[in-house]
Amino acid sequence: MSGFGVEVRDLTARYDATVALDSVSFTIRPGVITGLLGRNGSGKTTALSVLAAFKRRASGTVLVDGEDPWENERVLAGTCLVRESGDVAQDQKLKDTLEFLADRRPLFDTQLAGALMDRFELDPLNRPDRLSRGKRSAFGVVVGIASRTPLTLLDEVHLGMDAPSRYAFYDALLADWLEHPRTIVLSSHLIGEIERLLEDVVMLDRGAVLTVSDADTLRSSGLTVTGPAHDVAAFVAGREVVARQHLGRTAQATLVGPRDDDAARARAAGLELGPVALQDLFVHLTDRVPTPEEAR
Amino acid sequence: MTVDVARAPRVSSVRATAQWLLMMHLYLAMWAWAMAIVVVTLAIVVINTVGEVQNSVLSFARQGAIWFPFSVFIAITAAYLPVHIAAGLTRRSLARGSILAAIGTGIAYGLVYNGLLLVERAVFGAMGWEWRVLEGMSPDTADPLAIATSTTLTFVVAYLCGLLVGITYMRAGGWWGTLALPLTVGPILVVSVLFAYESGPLETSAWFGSDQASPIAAAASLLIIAVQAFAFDRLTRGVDVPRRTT
Amino acid sequence: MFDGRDPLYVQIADQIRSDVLTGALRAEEQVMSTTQYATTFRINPATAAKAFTELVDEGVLYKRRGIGMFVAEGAREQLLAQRRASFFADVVEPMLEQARVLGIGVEEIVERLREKEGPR
Repeated sequence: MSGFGVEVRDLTARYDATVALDSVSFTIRPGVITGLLGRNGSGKTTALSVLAAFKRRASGTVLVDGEDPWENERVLAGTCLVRESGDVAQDQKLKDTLEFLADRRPLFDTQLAGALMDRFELDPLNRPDRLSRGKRSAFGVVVGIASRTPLTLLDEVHLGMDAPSRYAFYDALLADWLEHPRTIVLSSHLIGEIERLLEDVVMLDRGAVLTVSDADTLRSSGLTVTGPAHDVAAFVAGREVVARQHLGRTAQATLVGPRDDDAARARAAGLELGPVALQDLFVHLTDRVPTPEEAR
Repeated sequence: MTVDVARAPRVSSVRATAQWLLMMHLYLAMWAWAMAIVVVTLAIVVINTVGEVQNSVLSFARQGAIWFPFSVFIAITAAYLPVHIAAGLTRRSLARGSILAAIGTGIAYGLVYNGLLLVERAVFGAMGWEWRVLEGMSPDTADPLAIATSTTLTFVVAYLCGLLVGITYMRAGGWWGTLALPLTVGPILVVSVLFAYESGPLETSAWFGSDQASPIAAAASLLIIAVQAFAFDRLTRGVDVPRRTT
Repeated sequence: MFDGRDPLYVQIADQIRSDVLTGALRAEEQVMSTTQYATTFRINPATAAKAFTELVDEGVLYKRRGIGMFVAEGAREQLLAQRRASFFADVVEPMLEQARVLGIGVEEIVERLREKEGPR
């Protein structure tokens, strides 16, 4: 396996008095594309910031490729965090930033960077502070992919991009990952588009780990049951129901934790079973009052 | 892949950082001095037409050479930190690179300033004007070497002060950053006073004797520079990258 | 596409199986590589690879080193045999259960089936 693995144990991180992460533990497998999912303010950015040594931790253990990343020259050279804000010199030409990084990142691929710049229609002579939000995000993607670091952390980079750019991003990421497999973490609260790109998922909620799983297992952990309200109620009795909807006498319940005999029982009762998209499962699992942004 | 990453960067990251920051400051210095030369020349011409040139005009640029790079160092410390860390570099190399850049910039400003003073002096000599330094806190001496030492050391101290102000605001926020200003900016005043040993508010030449005052001021400056560098290094090692940079 | 209830890799494998069953993919025909598959459908390459591994293990596909993956000789027959075997369990029995719930007798079903089959 190539790429850096990550091990986090009992990690607590604070901003002054605010606890952003409260004793969280998770691992990220080396060479795997992992999704770090959570609502706004769930601690995603904080977790990534600690992994990339942007931020000090209050307590706990963080190991990247077996070592503490803080002030660790080898580990940091192999770790790249791209935040949505874009931590590049705002008043310098994009081409100067790429040169700057090429001199500092051991595996930086200048040719790939050039190709991606064309792909995203970025002018090398332009400056970040003169770019739209989408173009700034696209430049972050160029930096993140072309740095080719064994641990690449992309924090909500795709949010500002328009649909064609996002697809170009997914394609470029997969193509380069196939040629140079490495650990990639995509963080987001909008999951629909990226869920199939993910092999593993770490879900955070209010500064704690909600679930750590491979994406396939997580996806098949939810199911919907639809049919006459009375039969649905009987079917889901005693099980973990995360959502219910009624339309006249028809009801739909969303369950977590499928059982082997579900299909047979549903057939017998004349009920219909359906899948739950990861995005919906995520909303159900983290739902208090959905924010307008997530309801989109 | 892991093997490749372990390979040493092409140049030492301290050196790369120092060079990069130094180039940025020297680029700004080029513009600053170009403007200073124009302004000083015009001033001399004007003074000569309306009255009599009696003292060095360029020596008034000393304050500018202290405070302009000082403020640039504050701004660049804040702006460059996220860029440096995001490029996968350590705070150690940031601290050392910044300190080297401050010293290098101080020496560069010292060289240019004192070089121009010599030129001004030669021009004054040729025109038959009297050349003396009238500016309050400068040494009342005509010895070029003494002026060069005092100004260059003052510049270095000032630019390190810029670094300290920047990092203190980042570490401690607005309130504490402001409360710490006597500590972070104070060294500029201290060395200025020490070097103005004959005309300054403390008149240290009366304490140490006029032969000793200058070397003592120089030694004190070097000590202050060492303390500043140490403090900046410590403060930088523990700094978080701010949450928002735009 | 790929929005069923099964794990993604199972759905991918199922899709290739049904392509083989319908004849869209013939014996000895080359199938998409994992790489092509992953990039075409924007799917995690490891997930796609898992589907292909399963199909190779089943004998539906086989690998030619350095060239790619191909549909095995007899893969269609093999899949047909499996589907036939599971036809009664997956289709007929659930139908009978439904019929029982609705009070439809076996005779009635057989009659309907004959009717449908008749004109052909």
